[in-house]
Amino acid sequence: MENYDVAVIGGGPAGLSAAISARINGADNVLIIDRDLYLGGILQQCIHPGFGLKKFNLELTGPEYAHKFVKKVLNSDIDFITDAFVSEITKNNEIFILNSRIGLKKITSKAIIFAMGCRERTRASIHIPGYRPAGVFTAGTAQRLINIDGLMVGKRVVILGSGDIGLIMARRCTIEGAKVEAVIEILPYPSGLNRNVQQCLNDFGIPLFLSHTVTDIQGSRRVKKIVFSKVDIDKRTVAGTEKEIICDTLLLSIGLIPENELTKKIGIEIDSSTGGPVVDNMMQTCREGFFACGNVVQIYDLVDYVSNDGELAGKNAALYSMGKVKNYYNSDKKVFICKGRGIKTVVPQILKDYSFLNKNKQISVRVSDKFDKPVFLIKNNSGNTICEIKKQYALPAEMIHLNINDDFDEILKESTVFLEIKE
Amino acid sequence: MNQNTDYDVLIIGAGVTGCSIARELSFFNIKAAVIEKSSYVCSGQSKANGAIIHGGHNSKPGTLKARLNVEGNSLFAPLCADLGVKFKNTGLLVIATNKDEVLSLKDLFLQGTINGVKNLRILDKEEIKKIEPGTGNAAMNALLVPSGGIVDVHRFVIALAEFAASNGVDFLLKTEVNDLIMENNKVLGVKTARGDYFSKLVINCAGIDSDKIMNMAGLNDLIFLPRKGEYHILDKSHSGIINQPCFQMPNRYSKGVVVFPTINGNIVFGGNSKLIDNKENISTTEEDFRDILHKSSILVPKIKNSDIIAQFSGIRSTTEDEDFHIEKADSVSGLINVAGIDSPGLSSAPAIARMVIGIIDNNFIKLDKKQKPIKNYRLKPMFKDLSTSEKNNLIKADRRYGRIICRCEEITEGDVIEAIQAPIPARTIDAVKFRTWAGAGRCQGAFDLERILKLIAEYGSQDILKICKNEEGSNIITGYTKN
Repeated sequence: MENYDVAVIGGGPAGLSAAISARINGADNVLIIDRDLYLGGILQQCIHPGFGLKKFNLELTGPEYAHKFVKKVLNSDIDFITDAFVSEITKNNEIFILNSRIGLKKITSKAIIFAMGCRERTRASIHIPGYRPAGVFTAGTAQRLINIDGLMVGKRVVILGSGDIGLIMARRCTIEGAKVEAVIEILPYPSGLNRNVQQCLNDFGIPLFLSHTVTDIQGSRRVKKIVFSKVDIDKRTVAGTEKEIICDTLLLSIGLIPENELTKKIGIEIDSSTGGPVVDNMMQTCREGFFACGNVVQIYDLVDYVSNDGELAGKNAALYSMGKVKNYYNSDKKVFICKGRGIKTVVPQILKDYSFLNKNKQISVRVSDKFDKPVFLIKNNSGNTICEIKKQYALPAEMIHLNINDDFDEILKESTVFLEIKE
Repeated sequence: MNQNTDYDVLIIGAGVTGCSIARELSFFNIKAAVIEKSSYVCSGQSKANGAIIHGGHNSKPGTLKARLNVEGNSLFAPLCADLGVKFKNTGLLVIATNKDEVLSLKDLFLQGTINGVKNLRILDKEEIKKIEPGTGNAAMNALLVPSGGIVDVHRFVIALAEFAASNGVDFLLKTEVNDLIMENNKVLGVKTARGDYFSKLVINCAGIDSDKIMNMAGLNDLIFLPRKGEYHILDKSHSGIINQPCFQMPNRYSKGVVVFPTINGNIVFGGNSKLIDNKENISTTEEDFRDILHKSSILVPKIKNSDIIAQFSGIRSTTEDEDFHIEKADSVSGLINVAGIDSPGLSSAPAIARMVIGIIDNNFIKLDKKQKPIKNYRLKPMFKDLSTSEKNNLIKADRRYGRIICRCEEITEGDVIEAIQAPIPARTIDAVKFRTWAGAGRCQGAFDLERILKLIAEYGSQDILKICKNEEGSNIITGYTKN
């Protein structure tokens, strides 16, 4: 097969949902391309439970969650090619695939969905000084080695970053017999979900050092010790607060970066605050026929929401490929959402009038700080409030969903709206 | 003569100097070996430098550096073409940002001209902006050195070594020379932890340890002042902000920084030169980083907010008089010292090798060319550098070239296996990295580390627990999980 209706780049939770939804919504020829040997994406290595609470009311492991979708793909006529690399996507909807079985192949697709996920921030991006010994890993790499390959990465571990991956790996390493000496976090609060701080650190007696960071890595062959210091409110190290920990491993859980090499290569606009493409409420990028979903758009906290947005992207990509989208929206109406006080990221960045989107209209938000009983305001150009949404709390680590159903028509009257948290 | 331990020539050090000489020697009927303390070739200064081929303008007239840089520069392009190594004649700029520096620039121009560097030119502000729009407004004048270039330094050294190995030179890796075997002021060989090796001639190419080797022969006159330099590699998305290496004019206070493109498409900045006491100290520091970043952004402003994907530092074997020391030892026989080979050591390497061959022929062993044909060894091109039809043919012949191991740099399983099975096998993570560039991209091994470990285990017949990042003790995996 060489010509598809919908091609999905990435067979993780986003891509799987997108492909299934595309097929259900009428796209005849759907293809998933994935670089790993099996479908499932990052979920394959997330053997801890906690996935699917919102979507299925179940506490599944990553592979179990993935299996629900992979099973559907296997029992359908959705095409997929694994162990494959997409070397290029062109503006003319050509996709160049490299695989050991088929060699170098070009396919075309009417609609393309980016679902490539994200990669981890590495040591040099925060320029940790010191030697460059063996024993420094990103948390996800360590997770893959331990969970998929059965290989242990160290015996005495220090983890930099209290994001969910770091917290999960603190527990994982402990279970495998390593001594996790500390988790070190530069912010004054943990970056990951509260339940993970409880279940991975507190339950195992692993100390968490907030407002600290690693300032030196020592050891010429293998890590011998790390030095860490307190930081002030501006994240600068405080002199005289250096402490050492003897260890042989440093795991870095210092952030995720959406993987948009392919997206950028064809000139699709990227939102620098999310690191992902600018998308509308159809999950379409600025280029017609190119959609995106999952971690490639923004870093999600729960896979359940990834699946929902994948479904949306898949449905719309299918409708687009069948030429039906034009019937469904008034292309004159387009609203840009600008970020105000307290707002770090907003997805989608653009709202359009899609009449078939009659389900709950939501925007997902990430805040820049902790807020107690925040009131989210959407204001128009003149400063008048169009709608007010109250929440119990807002944490940077958790994605917030604002339901704008009731005020959607009002919002659509504007060309720009401002989202902020009330003072 | 003991087949295994007796040689005509022993070369200490498998960096660019030792491997260049080894390749030259492999053309002659000579039994030679290269002895290297590290687990792979190209592990010392040759590993951690800017990979820039200088024109010869930097060195004082009349010095060995001046003469050999100019000669080496002219030999580089054809040699790289023969070996299948990437080289680009990009030219290079030395940039002056104040009146003092402008005056020094004129001196540099004069010096280069005396040294025989061709087509040097001083550019004004407009001309600089025209050829390098990415340079900052602080640039007043610049010296253009058209013969400058950039090279794949790691593959260059590896190619030299594999050429020599394919033509009969032994490479004894993980073999540190602990002492010289001497009798009546004559060097008879070397003592290593793996045993003694004997030879008619020892050539000391031990880089930052070349003074140590000289001391073993009782030669204590050469004074080393090792200097550390740091480099910071930017993400490939910044590729193209400059097209050639741009040097800050060295001044009274510092050797200056350099911002340069690499042959693989990254932009790198760095290169300060800090005197250090511990030559094992290859750590990077926050202070040095900020200093280098500041100076580099004056040269090329876009550096300032760029994503850094890797940082490294290296020690230079700078001598007190700052010149190469290439000569047969006087007070002892059987020894040639090739010491103090810091910058422009890479650029001069082909010329240094020829000079050493001359010294050997005139003083030690009459070198006669091999009658049987030389294996014209060259590196196989990387998969990513082939045309589409070549790629497809290669995959048809060997499916493993169709599987990408390193996404960021497009390195295939076939490329990695070839490195593992090369004439000088790559058996560590770093060896594979330097021979293929797998793991050197923006994800820094996050995707490929697992795959490379498995490939080395399988194709290198190694226990996965024993695979090291580079040297003994740098194991990646510490054990199996409980199951």
